[in-house]
Amino acid sequence: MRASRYFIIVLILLLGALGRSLHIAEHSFWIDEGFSFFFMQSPDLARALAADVHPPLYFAGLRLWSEIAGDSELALRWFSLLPSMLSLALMHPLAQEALRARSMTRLGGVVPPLAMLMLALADGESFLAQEARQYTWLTLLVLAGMLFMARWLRGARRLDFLAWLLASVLALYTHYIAAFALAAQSLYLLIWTRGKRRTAGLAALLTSALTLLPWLAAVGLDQLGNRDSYKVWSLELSGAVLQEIGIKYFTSQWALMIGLVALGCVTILYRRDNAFALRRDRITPLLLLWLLLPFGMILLVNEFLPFLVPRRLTQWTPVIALLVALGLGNIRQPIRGLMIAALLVHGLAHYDFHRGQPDWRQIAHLTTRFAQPGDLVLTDVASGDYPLRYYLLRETGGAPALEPGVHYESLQFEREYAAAAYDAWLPPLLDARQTVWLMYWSSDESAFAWLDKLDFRLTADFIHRHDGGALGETRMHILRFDRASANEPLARFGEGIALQSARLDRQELRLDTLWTAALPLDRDYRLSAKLLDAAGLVVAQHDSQPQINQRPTSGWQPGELIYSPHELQLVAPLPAGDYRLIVQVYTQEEGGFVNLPTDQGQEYAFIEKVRLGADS
Amino acid sequence: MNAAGRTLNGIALRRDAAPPWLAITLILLFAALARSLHIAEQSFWVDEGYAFYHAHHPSLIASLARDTHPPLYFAALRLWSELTGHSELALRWFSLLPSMLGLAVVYQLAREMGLRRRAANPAILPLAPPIALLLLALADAEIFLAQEARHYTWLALLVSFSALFLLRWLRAWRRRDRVALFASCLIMLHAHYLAAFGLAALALYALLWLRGRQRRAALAAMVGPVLLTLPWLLLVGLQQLGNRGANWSVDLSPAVLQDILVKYFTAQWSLTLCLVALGCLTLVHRRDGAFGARFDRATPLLLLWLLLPFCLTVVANEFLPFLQPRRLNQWTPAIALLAALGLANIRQPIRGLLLVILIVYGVAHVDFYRVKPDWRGVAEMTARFAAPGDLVMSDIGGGDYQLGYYLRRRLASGALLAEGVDYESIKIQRDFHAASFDAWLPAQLEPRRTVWLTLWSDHGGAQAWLDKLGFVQTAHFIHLHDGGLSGEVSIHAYRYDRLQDERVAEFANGMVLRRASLDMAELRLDTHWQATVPLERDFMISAKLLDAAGAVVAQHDGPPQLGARPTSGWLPGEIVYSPHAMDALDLPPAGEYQIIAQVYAFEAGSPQNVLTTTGAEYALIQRLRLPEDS
Repeated sequence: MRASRYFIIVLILLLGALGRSLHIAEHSFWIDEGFSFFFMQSPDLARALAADVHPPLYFAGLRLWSEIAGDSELALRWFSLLPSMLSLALMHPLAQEALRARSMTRLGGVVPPLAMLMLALADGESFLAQEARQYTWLTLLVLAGMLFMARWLRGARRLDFLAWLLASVLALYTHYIAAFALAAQSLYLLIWTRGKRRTAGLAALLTSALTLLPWLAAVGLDQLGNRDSYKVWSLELSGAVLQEIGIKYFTSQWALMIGLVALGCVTILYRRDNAFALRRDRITPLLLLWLLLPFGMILLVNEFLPFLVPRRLTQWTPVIALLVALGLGNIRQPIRGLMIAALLVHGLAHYDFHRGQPDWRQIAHLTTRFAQPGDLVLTDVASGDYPLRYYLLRETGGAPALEPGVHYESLQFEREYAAAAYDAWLPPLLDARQTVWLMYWSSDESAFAWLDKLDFRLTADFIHRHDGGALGETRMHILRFDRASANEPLARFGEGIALQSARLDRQELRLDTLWTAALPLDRDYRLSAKLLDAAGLVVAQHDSQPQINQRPTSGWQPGELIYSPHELQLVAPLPAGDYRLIVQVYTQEEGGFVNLPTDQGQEYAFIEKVRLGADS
Repeated sequence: MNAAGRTLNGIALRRDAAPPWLAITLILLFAALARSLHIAEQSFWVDEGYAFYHAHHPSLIASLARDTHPPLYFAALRLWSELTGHSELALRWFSLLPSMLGLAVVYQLAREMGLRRRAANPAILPLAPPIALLLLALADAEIFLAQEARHYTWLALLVSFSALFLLRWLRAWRRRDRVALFASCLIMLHAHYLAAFGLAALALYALLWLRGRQRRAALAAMVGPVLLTLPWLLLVGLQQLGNRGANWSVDLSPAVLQDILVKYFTAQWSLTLCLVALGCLTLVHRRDGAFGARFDRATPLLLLWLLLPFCLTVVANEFLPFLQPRRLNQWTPAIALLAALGLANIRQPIRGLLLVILIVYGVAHVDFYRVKPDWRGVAEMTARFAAPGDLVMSDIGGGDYQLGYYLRRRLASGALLAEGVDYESIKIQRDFHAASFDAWLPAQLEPRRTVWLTLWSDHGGAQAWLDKLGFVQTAHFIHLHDGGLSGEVSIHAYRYDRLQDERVAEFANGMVLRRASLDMAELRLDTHWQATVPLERDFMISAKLLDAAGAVVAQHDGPPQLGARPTSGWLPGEIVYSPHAMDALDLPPAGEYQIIAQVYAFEAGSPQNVLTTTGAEYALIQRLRLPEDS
């Protein structure tokens, strides 16, 4: 190979690596990635997967990987990026194999790098390389299987045969839908090969299928009962879904891409008189089956077992790239250069495989920020709260986990996996607490009924708009429930406003307050929490409308209990000593601040004396 | 002229092959279909209402002095509507026609270019015209703008005409082409001021690429129209300078550039751009597979036509914000032409493949489209219930011309507002008669008992006056702007009533029927209710027409205000308007009838009437005698 060709290949690999690693840890895990983490961590993987619909290899591999690389989002997603880069490298020999089969090796300097470039630019592959899921492994193993099968068919070398067999077994143990690629290979062998080669090839595929039997017998049969879990996310085939698939895998220039794929299915021979001829070859049927059979079978199976989702078609990404490259190879200069420029510019400027995700990291942070030792944190997300579990229980870049002493349970998990004990399990769990946080996006209302029965009152409702509101008004609620105290309020202010309780988190220097109003209020009062030194000077302060400006007092209902946290900001580092914590209620008027006095006629309510040590 | 090999101004003249008539016919049919399909489905938006308003203003010049457009399109639209009527279909057809004419002009333009390139690549002359025709037929911008009662397709047509006549004149040196160039420049400057950018492109081309007498003559044909536009500019244009505003314009940003790119070059923009780039050259294919490239003297005109209006719009937008994708439409023919020339440069079978790709994509995808707010529905919502003597008003911050169109227009099929219902635009009055506005508004409201107000504005003046004059809000209908696509932006339609101490009946649950009036034409009972105490349950209201024997002949049952105001949400003392359009099985025969109103609730699945305070099962509203043919 010439040095310039190496240089181009290195550039393409760099482009692929850049596209796949850029912002890789920016988005938080979504449900399926949380799911991967959950299974990976399970002490008994086989038993855990019996409640799921996947084979074990990816999760076992992810566990090994995380022991080396850690379990941050970056580390877990890199486990998907690596096979994607390997696929990119394997595209070159696969394209060469296709050219050999077409007797077009003179295009060896054009088509293989182009195939790599097309895969490097494939948004589906880039997107899935940034997900802690098994799809890029599936793509790699199917690609490897196809490559070694094509090599074996050409050269009949035992090494290629064994590599093909191994890739097929690994693919089946990575994702069941690898079976569709194996079906494509079987069909090709049946129709386009003869004699010993056909027998040996089919035997290899049969062997790889048989190796899956032990797993299927041990766990797969149990998984049959879980097939409904696919339904939650699957799509019915429609014009809009086909369009979405078209754009995700063929880009928004889908017509051009499909045209080039079609062109890649033939070999064009140009003559001197500007006429041309088309030639068929023996490898194209394999490529076409690889392209069409998994898609056709997924559509067919989807009628009985709904599981159609664009990302599950990812095993056809390499064949699309290869056929487009072969199509480009059929075009003469300067038009070929122009087409490559069009594809390159579009590929760099456009991203067609995007999906909005809830920011689970941020949602979890809303709870980890305020939950205090002794609190109970519950999650109930109908589609699965695995990402919340991930973010609540482990610290991620800049976002802390739940403090020690905060108890966490998943209602959805308990309801699904321990349904018989659920009704007995929940009430004692709640009864032992004074404050419960419920992260809720579900239709099950059992927790509300029990909270109500056990005298908890809703004191805060932080709302997180799913996908930043892009998908409409779908909201995730982070609810706080407190038990009303029978004690007298800590302080009473004018207009019937009462401070029911206040608790200082000394570590965070945050004052958590609970408020009530005896009467409807027609003004919006502000609350101020201040730390005063011995001389009465303010050394730390936080002012806002109640509940971080979410619950203005004009919206309070009489008798309602309102939670309002106040994170005090230090004016300067505090020397050790005694301080006084106070709370004020005031309005901002044109003339300045007007304090609402307490029923004792004080300008503020004194909460407690705070003794702070050095370095606070 | 028939001798092969003769040249004129350096351009080879040979008899052309016959045009591909079948392909041309099919493309024209497709273009007509795409431009006319669903043309009247979406309701008018603000600008289309504006076009209608100007076109039918008694004094077009005075009206346009408050606007930013030249007069020609509006004057022509008035003439057209006198011939064809005031329907959306008729008014939008006035944009569809130039779009279809534009196809023919682009065909001729491509032929002009083909004649110039024929020597280098003979394939271009037969190929470029039908391909250009096809690409313009598929252009989503042209299709969308051909379905708007606005002047943008006229602008594209007139700029194309000017370019065609300039190229023809340069080739054939005929006086009639120069006269036509002069006329089309003059017309386009009076159709839209943005035509000046197209004219600037032609002028710059003449300055840079022509020489001697040719340059002087071409420039004179363009400067002349500019001079003839001066009277309008002096008379009205100077007044219009005060109306320039930032309304509706967008700042240039990568997102806006991408929007423009997709709208004019499709989502396959990189392919279209490459074809445009390829169209700037003539590829010369050699037998050994090598190729060369030639640049001809007419191509700079197309490039300037493509680039100069865009660049000038972007630059001008920094000082006078008016950048909007639709305002770039004059470059659509240039894009189609250059892409067609690019395709004509490509040999088979790739050219065929690319054509299939462009056709499939063009037919399957729409890249220039906008869901318009359903102003027709908003107008109908009010018109449905407004009764003679009512006043209907609108106050829409962005302009309520489109509501005026629907509420004022009289079509052969009838009018939306009933006879005797008056309509006034608060927005127009405030904008154009600011001095008299404060006196005008109370004078309009004072003599009325019922006022309907469609509101989407920050101005609260009308509501303040209604309050001052003793009106109370009795109904509030909400219409989601563009069906909720752009979020929860709502258009509000309010009803305000002035009630005296009227009282028709009282019910035992605390509901009082304050007023009831029958619209005989619609067989609709309009009722006004009040609750004396908070109501915990949701009661149903029933309006019935009973015959002399007490049998029900027409009926409407429903929660108050078409379900918008369930009784459990009523505040004590609040007045709630509730219309009940009764359905009759058959036309009631002549005879004596009674209109009654009942209140009931469902208990254990069956309706339980609430008695009136006098113990009756229903409140008698009125007795009436229906004549024959009622």
